[in-house]
Amino acid sequence: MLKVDNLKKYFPVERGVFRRVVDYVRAVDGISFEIKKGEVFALVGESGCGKTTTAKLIVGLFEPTDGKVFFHGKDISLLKRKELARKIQIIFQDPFASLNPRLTIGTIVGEAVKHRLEATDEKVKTKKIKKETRELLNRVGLPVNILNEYPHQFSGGQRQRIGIARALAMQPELIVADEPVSSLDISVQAQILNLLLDLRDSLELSYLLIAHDLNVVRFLADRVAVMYQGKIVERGSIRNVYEDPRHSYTKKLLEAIPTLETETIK
Amino acid sequence: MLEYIVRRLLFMIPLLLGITIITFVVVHLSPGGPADMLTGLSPKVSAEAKARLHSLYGLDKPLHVQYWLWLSRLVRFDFGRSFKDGRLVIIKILERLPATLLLNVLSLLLIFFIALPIGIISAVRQDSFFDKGMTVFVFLGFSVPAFWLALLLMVLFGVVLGWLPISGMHSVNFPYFSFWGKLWDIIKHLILPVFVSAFGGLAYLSRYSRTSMLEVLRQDYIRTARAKGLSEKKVIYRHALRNALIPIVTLLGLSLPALIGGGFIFETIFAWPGMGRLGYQAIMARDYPVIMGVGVIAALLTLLGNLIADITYAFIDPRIRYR
Ligand SMILES: Nc1ncnc2c1ncn2[C@@H]1O[C@H](COP(=O)(O)OP(=O)(O)O)[C@@H](O)[C@H]1O
Ligand SMILES: [Mg+2]
Repeated sequence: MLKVDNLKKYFPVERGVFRRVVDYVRAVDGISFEIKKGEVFALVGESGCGKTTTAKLIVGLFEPTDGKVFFHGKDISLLKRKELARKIQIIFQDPFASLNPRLTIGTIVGEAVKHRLEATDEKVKTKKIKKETRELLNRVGLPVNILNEYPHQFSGGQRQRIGIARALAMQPELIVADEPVSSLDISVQAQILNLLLDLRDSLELSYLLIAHDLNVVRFLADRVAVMYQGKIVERGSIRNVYEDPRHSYTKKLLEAIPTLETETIK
Repeated sequence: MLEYIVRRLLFMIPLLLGITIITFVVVHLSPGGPADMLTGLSPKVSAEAKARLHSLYGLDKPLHVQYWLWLSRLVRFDFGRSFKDGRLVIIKILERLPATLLLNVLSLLLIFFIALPIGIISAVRQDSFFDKGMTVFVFLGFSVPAFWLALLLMVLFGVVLGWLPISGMHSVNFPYFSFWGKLWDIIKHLILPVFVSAFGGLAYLSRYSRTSMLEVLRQDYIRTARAKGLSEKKVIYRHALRNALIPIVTLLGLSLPALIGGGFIFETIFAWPGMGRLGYQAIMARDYPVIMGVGVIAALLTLLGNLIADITYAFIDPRIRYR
């Protein structure tokens, strides 16, 4: 379904008054992978290894320096912004920063619904938008009477649910979840992860799950790729990678797993 | 919302009290009194005559008694009479207020409607030719002293080119003009003072709105809006602009004192018949009641401006409203 082919993103490092480019940060340095329909594919790696950059390249928030992303065989750089948004959606890491503080929940989610619907009759449309927005909130486990409230009135977990509802509003096939639970309390993490699993089953979604927490990955993913300094250094099924890591970096990552937290999550 | 406004109004009372004390003390501690000014030119005036003048103005009483008397009249907007011409201070101020308000409101509007778009466009097209050009303009705005600019423009437009009048609010034969003639006459007199008093603010606010907008454009929720597939126009005007406006509105409220303070200088340079010039003349003549009256009214205007900014702020930022 999704095919990432030798994707690269270099950020120029500028110096001096004339902004001379002195070097490049090779944030993503030639990675390739594929995600099949209904699959949860995980990308793990330490902070700064290029995971978020990869996510942004896939949802079209960055232009790649080189390489291509294909969705059902089509080059996504040839799609319109809206077409792409209807296929791939993203959930951001920080549920506090990713919701506009000045807009109501009804607008944040409803705007996406409205953008997708192209009904001509305004009245029918408004009604339909409200109805769909409520359904979406219900689907992610939020009360439906919060349409007129603002993001700051909610907890981190609730905000992440709002972010998920917003992503679902475009009815995507693939959701890129960039560390969806890393900023939440452990107890809330499990709830959100379960919600993501439920949604995958009921809506037949696929996920690109980005994480640095290997427990989260084990809980959710089918296959995993380990990223290190912009490159993929190891990949395979969860079992293979976890039980028989090849690359020394993966071994280090696995050794660092705190076992106590494994209990809490499972 | 109403509760918020009432709370803000009550909060102004101690502030105003403090301002009256400071105004009073500063004025009375400064060297030279009104009696010196009235009589100073004549060496023949005896100490006894001076004392008589003092008691006439109530200046012989202890300071705190004087303050209390002044304050108790102040709450009824009775600022006393001018030492200089014996007219009621409040009347003198009210005569001048419209000219000052006209100048300041126009300057604020000019700042807002020019600096804001400049800042926003610079941010949206960061590093474009426009952005770089504006950076140079802002640099000039910061480094050119406004009073020097005022003199320069007066020489250029008033003396060399002769296009614009350089002082006052009306021409001499103003009363004989038609309605449109009068309007055009006032506009011509307004151009230089408004531009000069807006100049510093223009540079500052355009830079500030650029920074504010850049800051907002970097936020995650802007990425969220883009990820929804919204057009770039919607992302900028619906999601980014409103958030960028919040700090800008506050800044505008906070820049009021500077504008009013600047009024003392610009109104004097352009002989603009406003409150600032009245205050300047009163200071020169040690006309205590007028100085203090102008000080208090200016403070009141500033506080009102801040209140309006705060209310606007609460109105556009839902996070404030609920506190
Ligand atoms: N917009 C950007 N401009 C310049 N450098 C960036 C930008 N975004 C990310 N980087 C750099 O790219 C590298 C990878 O960042 P990121 O993809 O956010 O890592 P991760 O999500 O794995 O923590 C980091 O060194 C970061 O500093
Ligand atoms: Mg990241």
